[in-house]
Amino acid sequence: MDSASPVARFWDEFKTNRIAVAALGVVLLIGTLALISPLISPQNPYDLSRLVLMDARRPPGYVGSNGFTHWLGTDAQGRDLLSAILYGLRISIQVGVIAGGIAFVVGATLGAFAAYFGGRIEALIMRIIDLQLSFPAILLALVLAALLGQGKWPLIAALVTAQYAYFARTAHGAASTERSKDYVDAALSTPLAARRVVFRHILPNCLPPLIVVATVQIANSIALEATLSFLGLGLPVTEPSLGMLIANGFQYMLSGRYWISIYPGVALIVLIVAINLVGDQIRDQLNPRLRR
Amino acid sequence: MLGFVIQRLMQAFVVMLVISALVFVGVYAVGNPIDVLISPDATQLIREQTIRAYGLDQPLWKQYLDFLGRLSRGDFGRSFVFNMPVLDLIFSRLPATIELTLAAVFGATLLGVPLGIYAGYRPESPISKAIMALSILGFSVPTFWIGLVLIFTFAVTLGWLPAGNRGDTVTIFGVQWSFLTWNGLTHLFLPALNLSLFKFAMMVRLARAGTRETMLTDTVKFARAAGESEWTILSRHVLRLIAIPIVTVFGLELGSTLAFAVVTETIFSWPGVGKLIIDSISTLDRPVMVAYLMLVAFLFIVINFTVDIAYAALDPRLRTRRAA
Amino acid sequence: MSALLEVRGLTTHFDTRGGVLKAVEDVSFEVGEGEIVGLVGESGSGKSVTGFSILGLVDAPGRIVSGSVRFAGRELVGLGHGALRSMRGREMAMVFQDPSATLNPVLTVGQQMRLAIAAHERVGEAAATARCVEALTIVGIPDAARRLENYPHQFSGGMRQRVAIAIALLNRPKLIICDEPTTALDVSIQAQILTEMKSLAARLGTAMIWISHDLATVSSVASRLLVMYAGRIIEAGPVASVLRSPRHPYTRGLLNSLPSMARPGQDLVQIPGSMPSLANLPEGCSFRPRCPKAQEDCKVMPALTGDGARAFRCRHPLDREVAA
Repeated sequence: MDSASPVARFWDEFKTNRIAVAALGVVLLIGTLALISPLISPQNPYDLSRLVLMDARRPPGYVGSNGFTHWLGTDAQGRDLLSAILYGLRISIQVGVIAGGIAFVVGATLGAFAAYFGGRIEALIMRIIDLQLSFPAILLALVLAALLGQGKWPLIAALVTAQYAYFARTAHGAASTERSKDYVDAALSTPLAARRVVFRHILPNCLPPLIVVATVQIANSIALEATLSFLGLGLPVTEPSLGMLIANGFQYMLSGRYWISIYPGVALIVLIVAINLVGDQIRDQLNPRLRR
Repeated sequence: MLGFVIQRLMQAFVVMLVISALVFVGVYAVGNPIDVLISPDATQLIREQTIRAYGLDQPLWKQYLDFLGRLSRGDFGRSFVFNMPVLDLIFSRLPATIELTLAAVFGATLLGVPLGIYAGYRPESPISKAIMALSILGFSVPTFWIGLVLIFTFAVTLGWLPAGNRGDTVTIFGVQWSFLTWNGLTHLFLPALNLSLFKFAMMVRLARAGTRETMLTDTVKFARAAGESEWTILSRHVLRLIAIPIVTVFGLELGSTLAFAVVTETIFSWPGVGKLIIDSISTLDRPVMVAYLMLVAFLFIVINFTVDIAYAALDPRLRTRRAA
Repeated sequence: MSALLEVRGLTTHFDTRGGVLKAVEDVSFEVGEGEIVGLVGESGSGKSVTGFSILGLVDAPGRIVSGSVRFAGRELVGLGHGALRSMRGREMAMVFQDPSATLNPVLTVGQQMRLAIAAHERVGEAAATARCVEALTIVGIPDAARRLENYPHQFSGGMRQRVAIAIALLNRPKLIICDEPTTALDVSIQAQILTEMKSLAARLGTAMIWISHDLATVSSVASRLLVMYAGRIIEAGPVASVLRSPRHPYTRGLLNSLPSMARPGQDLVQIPGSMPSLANLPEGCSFRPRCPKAQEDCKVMPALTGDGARAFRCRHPLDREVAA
């Protein structure tokens, strides 16, 4: 077992937590479903010509006017909810992963460079990041989303701005520890470019904590996007994510038509919980203090 | 200690100045407020008069300096939409938000910390696993969706609790409070529960992680070797040792809960500042947005400051270092 | 005379993912009233676990598999949690290696001492304070009354360990298990505390089990020596006798590696190889792979054979009175 690669060893330990393995399966399943949603959706929910208003707000299991069974019911426009959820997942995951990814790259680079340069640059960068971290991400995203206007890229920009600081903080912490180690001094004493030292030596060693933050932050940005869309500050109506589906159903909930809001919510939660469970297991495995 | 306080106050002042500039530029540099203020069919004369009345014809830096000048006199301007002083508007809404936030944060802490300690003390027990499952749920499920489920379950289906608004209030020192009447309390319960779930999850995790690590330390072994009971060890040693991170997070979360109240207030039609900011964002009511952001920034600085002081009170190592 | 502590066939295992760790295997010894017994071995030889097993403080996943621990005629293995707890601190206490890790950093020394007293009896405020002052004075802390208000970080390393010892002494136990109490201290303070504890034990009539990896330290305190290797006692006897003529090749090796035993200019002799993993012990005598005298019949675990006051676990013991 000692000869196995770190990844293989990590997976061997990961396997022992059955809940985490199941959660990983759920994440992969939902991811795949979202990816191929146009192929498997019973209906294209945004093909307006196919919508029949008569079929609107029908409960789960309703057989529509075209003889088609709506297993999860229909929404206010008569869309098949199952199809809408599959398409919504696609958009939510897309936004979450892109925003999380950009925040990862921007934040990690910034944090690692701050740790690498040290001195005033480090103090200034970390001061700004600390200041921002003390400010709630949701408020920042809220204001930015409002100011930048509706649309996918403004929303992603808002999410990145709200989240890059977590990566920067983590990368800075890990990189400062690495920076003080002898091997970095050794690498720096050779005529390598500073950039090379950061990217080849410091960053790879910061990866484990960053991966933990990344799982959490992707789940967070999916939730944050849903929240903003729910508040009407997220994606435009042409790209309805899960949050918007939920918002659309809210007004019907008080009259007992729960499914329009609840089912998209369940899909959202299963996804987020699964990501967090995977993240938890990774974190426990990477925390040496809890190892026995 | 006094030097420390003065230094922190200076820092706070600079931070507020920077934030005010960022907020001002951010809010005023984007979009055009005139479109919101004046109907498209208004005459050119009315347009110009309005623009001049609000100082919108001035260059941005001039507007900012005017803004700072007015700030120093406690004047945040008038709301475009409500046509009343922004400060009055915010202060009329603030108590509702504060009431909601405090109820949520205290509830979450008083329940979350003991449960988290238990979960960290007996990590393998089924109860601990249930607590952790609940906390993962509270951590993962978006606040707004929980709000919907709460309304659907308790207000629509069961009809036990009201779905929105503040209910009856009692006026004390000119401020209205819900928690002093039974009716108000029933209105407060669901939104407070909604808002507290995330904080609850956080407190559980924090207390659990702290307890798990503390239980492995020699401090606990030594206390056990001295014959101290498990209850004494948890309540006297462990609680004190994990109190430092918990108080920090408690303080910081108080601030972020104020922010999350935006969501809860919108769902439950709770008439606080959160609902006000959402409304003013959609109507581009800039003075309200600026004042709200300044207020939140100010509250954050106050909270951070208080947390620092509490820190020193809880960690004797820090206290003596500062005194020295 | 019946011994104060009688350990018979004590076996403690840890069930881990990597297999069963046989930390303590068939350990038997006794400690008389007021006697100081030294327990020597490399780290991982099971000496600390032996100490924790006696106190009933083996943490999960460890458990006492078999054997008996009799203290003042009372069987401790299988005793309930409550009964064990009330014995700890009052009948027998323990002092650990690193005082900065054992003392709680956020409680004053006085608070911690009072907790240790309150664990066993209800004592008034004044009486408790008096006892704390007395205990601190006994271990040589000047100005004890004032120092009760201090936090651990306000003491020097040596003083901190004195505080820990004072806490162990608070309830006047008959036995103190000292787990490397001087290892973390400066060499000059080590010697000081060593001497003081020896005279303290003599004065108060307290028996001690002195656990250390350092043969020289143990020899200067203890009257009898137990040498552990890979979870078993492999040699036992009066200090002078063991030092003069070790019978087990491992003890010989330990002695050879002591600087004080070497002649000037001569290289220190190391034992080749390292201790086997407790999860995967070699067949028969655990020292066999490293032993210069190992033979085929060592593949069967030798018994601990007595020879008057001396005992050893070896089929091919060294001759008595060999010159060093």
